[in-house]
Amino acid sequence: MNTQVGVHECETLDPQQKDVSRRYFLKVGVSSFLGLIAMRHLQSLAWTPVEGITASAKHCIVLFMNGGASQLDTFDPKPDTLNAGPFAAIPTSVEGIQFSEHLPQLAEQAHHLSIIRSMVTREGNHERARYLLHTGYAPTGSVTHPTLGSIASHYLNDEDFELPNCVNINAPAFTSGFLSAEHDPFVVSDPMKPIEDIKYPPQMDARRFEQRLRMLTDLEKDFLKKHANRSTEAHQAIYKKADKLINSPNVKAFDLSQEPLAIREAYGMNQFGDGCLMARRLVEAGTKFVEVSLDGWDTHNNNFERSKNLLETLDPAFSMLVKDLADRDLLDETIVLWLGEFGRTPKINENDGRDHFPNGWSVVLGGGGIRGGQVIGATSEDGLEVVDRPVSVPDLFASLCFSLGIDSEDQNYSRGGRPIRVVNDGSVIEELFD
Amino acid sequence: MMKSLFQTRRNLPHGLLICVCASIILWAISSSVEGRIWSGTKHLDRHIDARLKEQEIKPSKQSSDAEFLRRVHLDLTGKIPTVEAVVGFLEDGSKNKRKKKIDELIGSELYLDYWTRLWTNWLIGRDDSNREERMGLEGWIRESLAQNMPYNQFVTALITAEGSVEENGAGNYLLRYNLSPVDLASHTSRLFLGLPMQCAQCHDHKTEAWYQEDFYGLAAFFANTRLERIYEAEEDGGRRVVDRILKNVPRGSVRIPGTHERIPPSFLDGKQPKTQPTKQRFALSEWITAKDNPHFCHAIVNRIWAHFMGKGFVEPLDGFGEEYPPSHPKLLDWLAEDFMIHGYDLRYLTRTILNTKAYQRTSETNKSNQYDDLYYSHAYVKPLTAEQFFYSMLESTGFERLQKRRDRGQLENMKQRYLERFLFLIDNGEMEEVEAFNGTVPQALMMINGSLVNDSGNHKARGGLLHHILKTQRSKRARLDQIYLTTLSRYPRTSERTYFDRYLRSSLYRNDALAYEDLYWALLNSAEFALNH
Repeated sequence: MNTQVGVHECETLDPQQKDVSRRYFLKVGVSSFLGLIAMRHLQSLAWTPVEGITASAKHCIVLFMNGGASQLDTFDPKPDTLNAGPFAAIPTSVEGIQFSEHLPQLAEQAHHLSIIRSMVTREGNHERARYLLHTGYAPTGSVTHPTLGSIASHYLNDEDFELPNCVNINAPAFTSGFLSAEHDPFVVSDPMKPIEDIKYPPQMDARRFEQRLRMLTDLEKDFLKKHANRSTEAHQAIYKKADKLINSPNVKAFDLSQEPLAIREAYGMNQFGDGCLMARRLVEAGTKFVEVSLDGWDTHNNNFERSKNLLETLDPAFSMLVKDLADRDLLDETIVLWLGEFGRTPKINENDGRDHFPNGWSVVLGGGGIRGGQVIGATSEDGLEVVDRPVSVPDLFASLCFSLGIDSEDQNYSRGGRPIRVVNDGSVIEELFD
Repeated sequence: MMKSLFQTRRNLPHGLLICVCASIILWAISSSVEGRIWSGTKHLDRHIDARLKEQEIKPSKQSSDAEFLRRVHLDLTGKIPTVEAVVGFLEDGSKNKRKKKIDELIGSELYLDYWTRLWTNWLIGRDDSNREERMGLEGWIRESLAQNMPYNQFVTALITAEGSVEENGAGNYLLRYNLSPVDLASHTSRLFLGLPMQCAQCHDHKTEAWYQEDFYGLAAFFANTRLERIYEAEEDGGRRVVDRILKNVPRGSVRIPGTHERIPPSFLDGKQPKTQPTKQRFALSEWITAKDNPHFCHAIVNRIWAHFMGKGFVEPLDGFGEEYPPSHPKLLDWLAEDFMIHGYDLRYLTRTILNTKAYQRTSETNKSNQYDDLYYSHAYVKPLTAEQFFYSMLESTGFERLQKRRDRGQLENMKQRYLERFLFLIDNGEMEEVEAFNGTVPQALMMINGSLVNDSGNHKARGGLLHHILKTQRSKRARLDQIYLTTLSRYPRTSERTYFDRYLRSSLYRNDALAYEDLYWALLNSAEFALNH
């Protein structure tokens, strides 16, 4: 476990901050208020709160490396150093950028990718770090923050779209927190199998089902009147959504058998590869956010053999996803983000493993108007610290929001009635955008 | 400041003494256990009612027998009552039947099963990756609950476990966290003290007076524990673990990561233990369970109260401190004190709460209390937890009773498969109970189209519940009774019977059985089924 002493962003809004925004509002006055309204309206066209740069993403795909992948054995190789490990570094499609030798296909896509090598976080515990990297906030125990996909679903919500706006593949998901339950992730536990229960049972058809639903509505009217609360409302909302989903032609986005076998094979024909392919199909259909998990990165022992196996799964799927999106002109409007909950220690432990390391690790972004072919930030030669341009989780989240046209300063209210910003105290990483 | 609480308590022994004396006198007067429970129950109601009056909120009336029975079954056994239990209870004419029912359920096997699962989740979460440790701990918890082990001894056993884990299942609590001092400190402070110390693992707490040194001081108590595996040679030349032994070594400090400072064990009041390192977990458990540690009893009575009442005096349950003051501070103090005086008896605490008028109110609101979510003016609606929902589904689909042709093992396998899938859909590894309907569409799909619901609701399917009802009940009235009793644990109302008559006429089904299928499906999919109300 590696953590640092220091202040933290556990809390969300102190009274002073509230004061500042009020004062700011008074000072800047009505004109900017109108401007704000205009900006909201224009969000779908172009979102330009940072001078001189624009962003245009409409979708986001997150590839989550559950357990925490080693930055040294992926995107921040340190050849010929003490902590290098057995993997060699190979050149990529961009001069001067090297990846691990086990990412040969992805290396050819490097011109689409921005590599951030200077992530700094403070959470070295899996559960807490996972929460941080999904919500942008460290867990507080008191407020349940919404996961990034729910934030995207909330702000980019298209009422008429029948598929879920936020889908998680291969792992249980965090929740919509204090946002409405309709933005909770739709979980696909195994993309290699058909989605369970998405079709009516044999003796059912749409007409009879409608009749059933009406009966349900009639019968529970009385109960709902006497028990109006969040739980009953949430219950109603998901039934409506489920019904819409069952009857949507878009449901075929989940059906990978409609894809040519050669494409499926190119993605790897495994749970992660199929997950990436499903993500592409969903984005194509209009889903705003998809997260695909690849588990097994908690390599406290036998790191190199295990990482090699995982990279052999990751490489075809990730590279094919980028290529496939580009071929279909979807890459410009789709951000692809690769990350885990933290990196791993540069020092190799006595079990040939690497332990948790939040002090300096890598994430990768591409698409969605993000400038490719660059490295942002750097770690020291021994990998033990960030020596250039530290990037925080709020910075990363603010950049994602910026790219998706979401106002990261916007506030929502927690269950306890406290106003909480989408992102607390983050600045857009301007190098990511042209 | 939270920390000062530890000190103020010690400076104010008089108040405590008076309280203790008064309670002892009260206890002496009321000779029977029953009397003690009644006086505690009455005190809770008096206090809650007085607060309601002060707020000018009119409480809801008492629940109907059926409403009470469903709630008390869900809260004590984790699933809805059987049809026989409902009918039996409604027909029971005795005056104290609710009290008798509470006693009966607390003494039941189902209570032990459910509370074992609850405690296991509270202690080690739902992570199922190490089944051996989970089962070892479950076995120990069940045994402790069966003996009604006093809560202070229960906690002591968990913190101080040593020796063979085979013989002492409590050791699995330490093992689940890989003996990690920081994980154990984080978890122990949250669960047993209600304190959000885990934040201080990485940084000083922002709103409470907890510093990183406090956290690592607590963690250092666990630094003395080591695991020794006992192997046995196998025929093929390999070896297998036959037992694991927890040992105490003379080591008593931890290092704050990123620093070179070693932190020795230190209690949260800043004092250091006087024992040698090999005994330091004993010192910690003595400090945690000490009578003058106000957090120990507060945390557990608040947790149990929240479980039954749908809202704790302090929320979140690990939020004790400046930021989340209790809604009923005096009552919380009193309940904690009462629990301590009565020997840390969890069953006594449970009885005291369940017999209150406050617990037994209806969940229906009136004009004056519809917005109240603080003063217990009505029974707060609790979404069923994932496990409650699942086991209630098994009950209302007759899964175990009707599938007689399958053998026990097959049935358990099917059950396990359903449960795993169900939990996967909603779980995010949390330690607290997860609500069944937290909004995910796949769960709704499972309820709408899934085989568990639709097979049991198919009138042609032998072994299905609807088939069974239509075969054994001939009159429409009796059929409706059975369907409502099975799903909603109550008889249908007149208006519901009339509605069904109309539905039968207007649905234009050639076979009436299809209308019954619709009804059974609708009730299983209703909010009334999915909520504990």
